[in-house]
Amino acid sequence: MAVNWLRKLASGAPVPVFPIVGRAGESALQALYLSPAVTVTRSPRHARALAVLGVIGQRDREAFRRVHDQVPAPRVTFWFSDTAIPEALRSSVVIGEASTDIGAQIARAAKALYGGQPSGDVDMCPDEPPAPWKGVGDGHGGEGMMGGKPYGRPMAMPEDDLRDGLQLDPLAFSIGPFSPLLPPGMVVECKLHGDVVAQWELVGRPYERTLAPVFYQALEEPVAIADLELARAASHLRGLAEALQLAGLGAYANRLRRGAARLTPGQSVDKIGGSGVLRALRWSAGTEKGVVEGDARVRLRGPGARAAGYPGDARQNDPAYAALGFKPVTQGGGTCVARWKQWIEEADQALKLAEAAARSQTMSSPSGLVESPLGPLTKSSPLPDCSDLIDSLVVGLEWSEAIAVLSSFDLPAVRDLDSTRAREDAS
Amino acid sequence: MSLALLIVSVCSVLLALAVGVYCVAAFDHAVEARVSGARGGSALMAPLQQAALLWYAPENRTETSDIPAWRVAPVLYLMFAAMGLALVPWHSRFVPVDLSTGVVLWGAIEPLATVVIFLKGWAPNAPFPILGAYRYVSLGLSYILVSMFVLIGVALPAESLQFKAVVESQAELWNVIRQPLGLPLFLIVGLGVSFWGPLNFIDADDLNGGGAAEDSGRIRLLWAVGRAAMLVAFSAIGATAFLGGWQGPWLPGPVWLGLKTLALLLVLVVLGQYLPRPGPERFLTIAWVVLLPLSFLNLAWAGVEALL
Repeated sequence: MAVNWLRKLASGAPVPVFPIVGRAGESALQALYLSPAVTVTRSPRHARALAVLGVIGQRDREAFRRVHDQVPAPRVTFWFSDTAIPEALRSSVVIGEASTDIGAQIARAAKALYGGQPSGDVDMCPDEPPAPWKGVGDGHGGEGMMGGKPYGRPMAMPEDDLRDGLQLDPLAFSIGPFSPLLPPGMVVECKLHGDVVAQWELVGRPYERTLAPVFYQALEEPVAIADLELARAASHLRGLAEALQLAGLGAYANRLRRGAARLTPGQSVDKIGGSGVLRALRWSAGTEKGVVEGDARVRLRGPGARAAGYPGDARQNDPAYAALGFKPVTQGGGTCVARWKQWIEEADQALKLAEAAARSQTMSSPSGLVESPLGPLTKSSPLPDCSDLIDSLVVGLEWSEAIAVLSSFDLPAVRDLDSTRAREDAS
Repeated sequence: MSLALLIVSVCSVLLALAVGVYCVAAFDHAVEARVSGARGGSALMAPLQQAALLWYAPENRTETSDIPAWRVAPVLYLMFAAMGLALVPWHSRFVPVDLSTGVVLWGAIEPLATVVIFLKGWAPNAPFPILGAYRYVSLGLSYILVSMFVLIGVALPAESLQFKAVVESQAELWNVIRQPLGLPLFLIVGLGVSFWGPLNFIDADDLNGGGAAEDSGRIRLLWAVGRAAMLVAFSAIGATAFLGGWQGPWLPGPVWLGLKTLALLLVLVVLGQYLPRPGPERFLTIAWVVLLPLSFLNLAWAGVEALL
């Protein structure tokens, strides 16, 4: 009786889901965040379900298998992706439908699992240590303890700390491609001294970002500026939501995600996100770090470059924007907080532009060049990836600062028009 | 102590823990829902649903983890919170554990919590939990020192290290007025030792859950309950040391203590949802350069006031 009551209580809670975000999985992730039926977790260990959103690259299939098995079994694997379903999961995976709330679909499947049917899916990795003992002896002493590789990994040997020369044991690990701390697809090998990043090496670039369809449409035909600007504001607000989440303000992050999903022309960012909280971001980690200078400003493009004082913005070349009185917003300093401020001010400006454009029904003037939320987008040369810029910016920072700096950038390449169109045709 | 009194004492502590932890979770859910604008889910039912979900969630293993340490750390942390609550006098005639050195015992719990938190981060043998543990060890001393000076400040007017005497010394004037810096400093320590809200450096999102990143099922539930219980213990000790404990007109003493504790809990939970987390190093600087001198000042003020 009591057990049934407890199970009933458990099934009333939102289902914790860990998202595996692949190519073109961004919009499905936002839908998950907004669904009341699920909560999005930061660690696969906290989840009861795994949601595969978008296409997973061949390079990352092994990582997928490992993350899959990190969700404690019995688990639900939800497939909302064009990637072929692995053989081992074919009979158990729940295939998502685009027509209904994907959070509700996951919750239905997970609650059936809580009830004992079906039994969930199988592990994909063999049940054996990934790095077995390779040292000499039984693990306590022997050659392996000094310079060998007891568990297939080098033992931590003291190194000079970056800051004060104290000898510290380095902690080396790799992170990505499905970590919520990094853009989807990005893989990094890093080494920490205590909490300080001593080495940061990019070993896998993030997946290309798929922009809102209106930006691709604007490359070829006139579109309502109000739509373009609302999509821009939504993109910036989602970036800010991640920064708030990392700063421990998860509730405000969700508020911003909700606001970004239902923007209307003329709203103010302060009202959507809470002005005090956005200002309070100044107190969070890493605000004055991650300074972008020199040529990196130009390579960085878009809001990141404008936050470092580089005023390039393709909207300046559009007469329709000129008629609306558009002038690019810029900041000085190129710091992490300058980039957050840039997002806030650009989102605010976009909402005002959307209001003015909606009133006058202004359409964009297609010239083959559109200022996207990540930077200038053309038909011929999509925005390239610049995630390698991070390597030199985060070494010497504390982990929390490094992650905050990373969250202040939009680094991935942008998917080109042709591949986006091909995907639309296929679907 | 008679057997009956022992049973009543144990039951009162367990009841306070259960009610307090439930209130923390319900307050937190309600404030979060208000801030985020999320619909659905009752704040009264959400804590029970979450607890049931974790109760049934499967346990997790990592490679070459220290499973006994992983399991025992949340239990010890919860036990420390219970020990703190046991020191709180509900009334002049009822204190579950009425030690003449209660203030000292509470002061000893905080460094012991450091050991347990490190153990919890170390046990899963994984990068993010150990990073969370490192962070706490680097910050823990600054919390402990501030807490110690603040608590000595309340012991001075009472001329005793017994919490009952501390409450009785506030019959005419509560310590929150007598030593205005004391309560805010103590609450900051409370946020730090419970690693809650802006001082949650250990289980932070920038470590994908940090100390709890590898937890699932009942260990995660115990750890969450332990953190909430520690917040309850800090609120109850704060209400005792600064808000006059059981003292107040019309209502019975335990009701006053409960109301004051809930008020402090609400403050801590609201701060947790509204304040961003600073960088650990920035907070360490603030702790040593601002909070510690302020706690000296508070102590000096208390000393002068006791002499006059």
